[in-house]
Amino acid sequence: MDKIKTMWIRAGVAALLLGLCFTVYHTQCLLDREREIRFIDRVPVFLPNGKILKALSMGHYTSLADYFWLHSVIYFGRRAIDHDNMYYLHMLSSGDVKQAEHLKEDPAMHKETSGPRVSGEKQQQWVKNWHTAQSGKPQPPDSIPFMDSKAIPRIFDFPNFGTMDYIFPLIDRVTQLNPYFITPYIFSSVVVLSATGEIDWAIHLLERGYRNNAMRWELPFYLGYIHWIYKGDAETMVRYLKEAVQKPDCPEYVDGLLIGFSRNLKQEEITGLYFKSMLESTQNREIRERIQELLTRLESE
Amino acid sequence: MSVWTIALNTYRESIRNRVMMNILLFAIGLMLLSMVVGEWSLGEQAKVIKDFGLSAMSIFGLLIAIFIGIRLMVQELEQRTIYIIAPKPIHRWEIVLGKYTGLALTLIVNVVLMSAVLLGISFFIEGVLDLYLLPAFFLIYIEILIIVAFALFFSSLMSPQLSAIATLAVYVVGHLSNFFYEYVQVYPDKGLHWLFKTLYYTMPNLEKLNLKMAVVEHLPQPPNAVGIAILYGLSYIVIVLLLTMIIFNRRDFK
Repeated sequence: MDKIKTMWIRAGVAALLLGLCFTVYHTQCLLDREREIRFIDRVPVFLPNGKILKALSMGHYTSLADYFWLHSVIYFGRRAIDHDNMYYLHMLSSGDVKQAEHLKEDPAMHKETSGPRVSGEKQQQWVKNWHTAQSGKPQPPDSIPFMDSKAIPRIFDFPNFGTMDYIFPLIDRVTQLNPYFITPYIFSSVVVLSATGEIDWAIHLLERGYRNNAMRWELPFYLGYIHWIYKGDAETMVRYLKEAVQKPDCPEYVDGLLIGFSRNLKQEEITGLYFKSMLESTQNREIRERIQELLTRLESE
Repeated sequence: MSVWTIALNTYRESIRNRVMMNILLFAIGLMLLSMVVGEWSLGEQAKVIKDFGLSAMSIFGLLIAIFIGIRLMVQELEQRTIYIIAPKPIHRWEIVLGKYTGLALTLIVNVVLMSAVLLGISFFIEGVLDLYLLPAFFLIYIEILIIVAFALFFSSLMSPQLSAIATLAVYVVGHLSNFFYEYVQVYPDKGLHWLFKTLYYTMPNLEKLNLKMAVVEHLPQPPNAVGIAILYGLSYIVIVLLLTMIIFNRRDFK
């Protein structure tokens, strides 16, 4: 009798467990269907300066620098390359990035973004709307006072001009917390700069990097790049390249650049040479992709 | 001899402690998790793993030091086992030293285990064994030993809760030492400057034992920097242990 009773109890518990598992799964599915796609790339309300962050980190400033680095990458990715972030695209199509938070209150918005991903057609429409909205807005300056060639400015379209105010302040904190971390300097001078056109910020960060890493050839090399490409300042570029070649481990192609410049090659040729040298200088996939993209554009002009 | 017996006993007792096991597993789990997070770092996965791994070692070492270090003395008092040990022909300082040595043995097992996991993960990612990390492992161990010494010191004086807060405060102040120093240098005439100066010279300067950035970025270090830091740390530990022994010797258990 007792055996049968125990068996029934066990069967009951097993059935209850199965039922609960089903309930958990089903409610999760329901919640997924109803969930609102959140505006993921929130910007920090208050970003203390690097010195305060360093004190607050209790000696773990390299980990905090990594945290801000990951945050920068995600923030940049969301704003620059994540074309399936529907909320963001819709927000862009409405015209003002800074009003994004208010959109969350808009019931129409929730209707559009709740549930599974929006169809490709809808997405394309939003992207189109965004481009239309952009046409009436202030555009980046005809930004590159780049000499006599018309080809060079056309390869930089600054697609994210004015849409990512926090990317440089975030990278600034990374480099304040860990000034020896080289990748953020190069990432900001190649990838972020070509997206946002914020030349002064990029130079400021690279100069800081150079002050802290005086023996690294990459920093004067990229400083030369910015002065050449974005400012049309050949003199400063040559000065930085001359400094770069004096550093230990500086590869030969930097010398090649200087030689090319002294031979009065065309501006496009020197720029192409610069891009090719930059491709050699980094193994970072994302940075290489961006340089390759710029090089392809240059070659197709 | 009795110091060693107490140490082994303490080691056996604390190595079986569930809290410590959980903290250790959590630290190793976090290191493994950093492999995933590191993938978002644009080619800096190995660096992120090393940074997070070293921080995890230091933070979880601190937690073990606080939880186990404070429990060591409190347990003896609460379970009244101290009344059994105290009348025996051993000195009280031997009890303190034995307990400390036992916990130091336990912590070395923890640090070696966490270091091995971190080296293993970084080898898996980079394909080379990054031996630059070794001095940082060693100095993290010294840092944890200082915190344990303080935990033991406070727990022989105060309640467990207060001891935990005070030990944590030592860790915080220890890492703010450089800030105090800079403040004194920049504002020599400001009111709080004597306080900051006192804190700077009396509290342990844990930043002197912080080589995390240097080893991950392979920065050149002044010769003997690690040796001097070890000497500094060990001297500090001896001072705190001596104070603990004096207090423990004078304590009335009746």
